[in-house]
Amino acid sequence: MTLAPSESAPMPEPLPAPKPAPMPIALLMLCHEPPEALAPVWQWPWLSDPAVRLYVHYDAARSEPEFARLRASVPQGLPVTFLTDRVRGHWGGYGLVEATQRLMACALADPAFQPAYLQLLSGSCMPMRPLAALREFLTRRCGMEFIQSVDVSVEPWVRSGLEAERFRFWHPFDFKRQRPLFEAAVWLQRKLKVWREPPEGLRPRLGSQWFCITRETAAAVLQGLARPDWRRYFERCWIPDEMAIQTLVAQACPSAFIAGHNLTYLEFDEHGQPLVLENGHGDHLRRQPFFFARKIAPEAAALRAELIERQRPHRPDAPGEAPGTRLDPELDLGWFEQAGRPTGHYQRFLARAQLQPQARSHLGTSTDTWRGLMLHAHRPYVVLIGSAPGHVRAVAAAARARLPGWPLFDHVFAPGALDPVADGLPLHGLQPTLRARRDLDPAAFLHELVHLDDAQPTAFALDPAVESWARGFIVWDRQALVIDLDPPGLSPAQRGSAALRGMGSTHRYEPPRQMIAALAARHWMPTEFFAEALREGKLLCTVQPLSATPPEPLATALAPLLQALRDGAAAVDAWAWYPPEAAARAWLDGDESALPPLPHERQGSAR
Amino acid sequence: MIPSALHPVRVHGAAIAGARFLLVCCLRNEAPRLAAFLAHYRALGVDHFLVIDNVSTDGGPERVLAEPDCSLWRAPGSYRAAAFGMDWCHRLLDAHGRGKWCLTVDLDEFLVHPHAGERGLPGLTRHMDKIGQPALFTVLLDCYGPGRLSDTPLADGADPRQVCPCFDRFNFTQRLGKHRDHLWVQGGVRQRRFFADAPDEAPALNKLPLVRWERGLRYVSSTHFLNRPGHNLFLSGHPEAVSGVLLHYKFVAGLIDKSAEEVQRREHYAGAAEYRSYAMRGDVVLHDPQVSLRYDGPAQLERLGFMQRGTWF
Repeated sequence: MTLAPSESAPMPEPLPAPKPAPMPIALLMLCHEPPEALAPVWQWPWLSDPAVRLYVHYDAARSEPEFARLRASVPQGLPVTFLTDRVRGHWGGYGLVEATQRLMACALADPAFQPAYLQLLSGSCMPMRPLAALREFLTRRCGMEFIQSVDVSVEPWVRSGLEAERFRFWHPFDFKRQRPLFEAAVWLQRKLKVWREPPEGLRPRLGSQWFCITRETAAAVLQGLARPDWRRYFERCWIPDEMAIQTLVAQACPSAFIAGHNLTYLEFDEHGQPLVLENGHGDHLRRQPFFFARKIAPEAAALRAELIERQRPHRPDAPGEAPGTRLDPELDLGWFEQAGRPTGHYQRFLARAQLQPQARSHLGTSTDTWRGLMLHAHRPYVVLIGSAPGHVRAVAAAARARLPGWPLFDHVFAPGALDPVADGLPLHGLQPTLRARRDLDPAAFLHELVHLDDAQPTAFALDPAVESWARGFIVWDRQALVIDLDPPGLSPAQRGSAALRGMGSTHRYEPPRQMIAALAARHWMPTEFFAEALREGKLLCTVQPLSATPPEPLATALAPLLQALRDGAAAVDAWAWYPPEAAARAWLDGDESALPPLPHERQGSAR
Repeated sequence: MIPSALHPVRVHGAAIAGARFLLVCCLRNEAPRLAAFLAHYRALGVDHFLVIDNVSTDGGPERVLAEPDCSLWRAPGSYRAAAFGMDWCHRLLDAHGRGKWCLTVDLDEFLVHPHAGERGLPGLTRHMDKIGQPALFTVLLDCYGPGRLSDTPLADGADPRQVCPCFDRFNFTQRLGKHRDHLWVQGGVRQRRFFADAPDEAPALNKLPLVRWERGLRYVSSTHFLNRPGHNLFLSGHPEAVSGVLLHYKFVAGLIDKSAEEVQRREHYAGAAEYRSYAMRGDVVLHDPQVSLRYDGPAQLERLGFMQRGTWF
C-alpha cells in the first residue's frame, strides 16, 4: 500500500506500518451432543471473523439422520466444516485421538486457510473472551505450544487413580462396560510386575486432552501418529487422548516452547469430578485467565448468552464496559499453572461448605439429641450470672436502656415461666407464649436466642443455681462469654443469702435443699456453678468478671455490648443486693428481720 | 370399593417414559391453584405431571386434561383409607418413577432450592448424583398474608407467592424420631399461632419431596420421611449435601370454609385434628411484625439457615 504525498502538507508524515493480516485460528470441535444442543455454537461471534474456521467431528454414535439435522442447522455462510468420515469415541479408548487426528489433518489440508494455531474444543466448551484478546495473547507468545505435557516419572499428574499404569500395562478391557475385568487385569499385571516399554525414541507424557498448538507442531504430531509402531503403542494405552498428542508434542518441540498448560478453564473438585458450569457462574469465569470455558451444562442458556456477549469485540472507549472482559496481555503466567486444579475461589468455597458452621442449614443437619440445633451455632453471646438475681436484672435493664432494641434479656431459662424482659415489652418477638416450646426443645430456643438479630449479639441472664439444660450446655459452648456480676470478695454467707432471697423473685419456687446443705457443709454452692467449673477446668466457655477483657474472637464481636454492660453495672449499686456479713449470717440462722430490704422492696414501701 | 384403586383417564405413556423429572400430586377441589402450580414446576424443569384426582367437583380434572404435559388418573376411593393419598402416589411412582428423580408434592407446596431462579432440577439433581445424595431434605415453611385470613383470598389462577409473602423467621424445634431414623421438625406460624400451648402436637415440617425413586422405597406419614434412614438423615452427616424449602401456601381465605368441611369429612390425619384447630381459631391474623419476614428469594432462606447449598458451587 502506498500513500500519495499530500500537496497541502509541507512535511511528509511517516508511513503508518502496514496492518498485519489477522492471525488465522482453526477451532477443532469434538462433539456428541444432540443436534439441538449444539445450536448455540452457530451464534458465537467468533465465527463471524474472516480468519477463524470451525472443524466439527460429530461422534459416530450419533445416527446419520441426526448428523444431517446438525449440518442443516448451520446458517449459510458460517466457516464450519464437518468431517464426514466419523469415528466412534469410547471414553478411555483410541477413538477420541483418531477423531482429533482427522480434525487436525482436515484443518492443515485446507489450502485456502493456513491456521497459525489449532485449538481443540468439545461441544460443551465455549470461548469466553473476544477473539482479539486471544490473538493478542498468541501473537505475544508466538511459537509457544499451549498443552499440558507432564513426565509422570518426574512429577505426578493424575489426582486419583492409575497414572503410569496407563501406559505400562496392557488394557484389553473397557473401563466402563467391563469394569471387573479391567480391575482384574490391572491387579494381575501389578502382581506379575508387567512393564511395557514404549517404542524406541518415545517418552510418554500425560496431560489434559485440550490444547492449542501451532500448525508446525500439529503437522509433526500427524507424522508421528502416522508411524504404525507408535500408533499401535498408543492404541493399547488407557485414555490415550490424555497421552498421545501430549507425548508427540514433547517429542517435536524443545521443552522451552511448551507452556505446560492449555487455554481452557476446567476445574475438578477434591473427588476428581469436573465442575459443571451453570447459570450464575459468569462472575467466577470472568476472574479466570483463560480463553475457553469447559463443561457448560446443557441447560445453562443464560450462561451461554452471557459468554456470547463477552466474545463480542470490546471498544476501549465504550462507557460502562464490564471489567475483566479484556485479558491483561502481561498476565502472570503463574495463574495458568493452576490449570485443572481448583482455583482459590472454588477451593475456599468447598472448604467453607465442609468446615464452617455458617454454611450449614439450621434445620435437618443435627442428630445430636443434647446439643440439638446448637451443634452448628456460630454466634458469640453473653450470659450474665450473679448470686443476686435482682442485681443481674438491674444491670441488664441498665444496659438495655443504653442499647435500645438490642436483644438483652432477663432470666429466659427460669423454670415455670418465660419473662424475656421485666417490663413485659415484646422484644424481638420473644413472648411468654413461647414457654412451651422452650421447654420442648431448649436447644432450638437457645439457638434462636443467639441468632435473633443479624447484627447485634444477644445477652441474657441465667441463674447459675438452677439446674437446666441451658446451664449444662453453656459450660461447654466456646461461643458463650459468661460474665459474673458478683462484687469481688463476697463471703459464702453473703452469696447464699442473696441467692436464696432472689430465687422467689425470679422463679417462684422453693429454695433448693441442695443449696442449704451446701451452705451448711461449707461446700461450694450452686450459685458458684461456673466458678467451680472454672476451678476444675471442666469448661469450654469463658467465665470472667465484667472488668476483664475476653479472649479475642469474643472481644471484638461483643465489644459494644460489653461496654453498655459495664456502663450499666457502674450505674447500679451492687451492694444494695448483698447484705453485710453479720446480717447474712443472722438471716441464714433464722432471723427473718436481720436483712435490710432489697431495692425494689424499698421502692414499694415508699409508694 | 378398593381404596387404592386408580383409573387412568389419560396417560401419555411415551412422554412419561422419556421424561427425566416427574411430579406426582393429588388433586381435590384445588382448580384455582393449578395454573401457578404447573407454571412453577415447569420452570423448575419438571417434564411430566402425574395427577391423581380424588373426586374433584370444581372442574380441576378438566383443566388438567387441557394441559399437554399432564397425565390424569381418577381415584374414587377414600383419601384416608389410601394412607392419605400415599398409596396412590406409591403406585404411580413404582410404575413410572423407577430410576428417575421424582417430586411428590401437594398443590399448595412450592419447592425452592439454593440457586433457584437461575438453575433448576437438572443442576440440582446433577449435584445430588455427584455426591450420592438420594433425597432432598426440605423444611415446610408456612407462608401467609399480612392481614386477616379472610383478607388473603386466592383468586383463580393467582400466584400464591403474591398473596402470601410472609413467613416466620424463627420458632422451630427439631428432634430425632423415636427410632432415630428421621428428624422431626415442627414450628413456624402454625406452632406459634395454633399450637403454642402444645408445641409437640404441631404438624411436622420435615419433608422429602424430591427423591430418586427405586424399588421398595416407601413414604411414611405423608412425604415426611422415607423407609430408609440413609435417605432421611443424609443431610446431617454430609456438609456437602444440598437442602431446600417447601413454601407452603395453605393460609388463604378459603381455609376457613375448608377447615369446617374437612372436620366434617374426617379424611385427614388424626381425625383432622389440625383442621379442627384452624376452625376453632377462625379468622386470625398470622402476621407478627417482630417474627414475620417477607420472602425475598432463595438467598434469603439460605442466609436465615432454612437451607444450604453444600458444595453445589
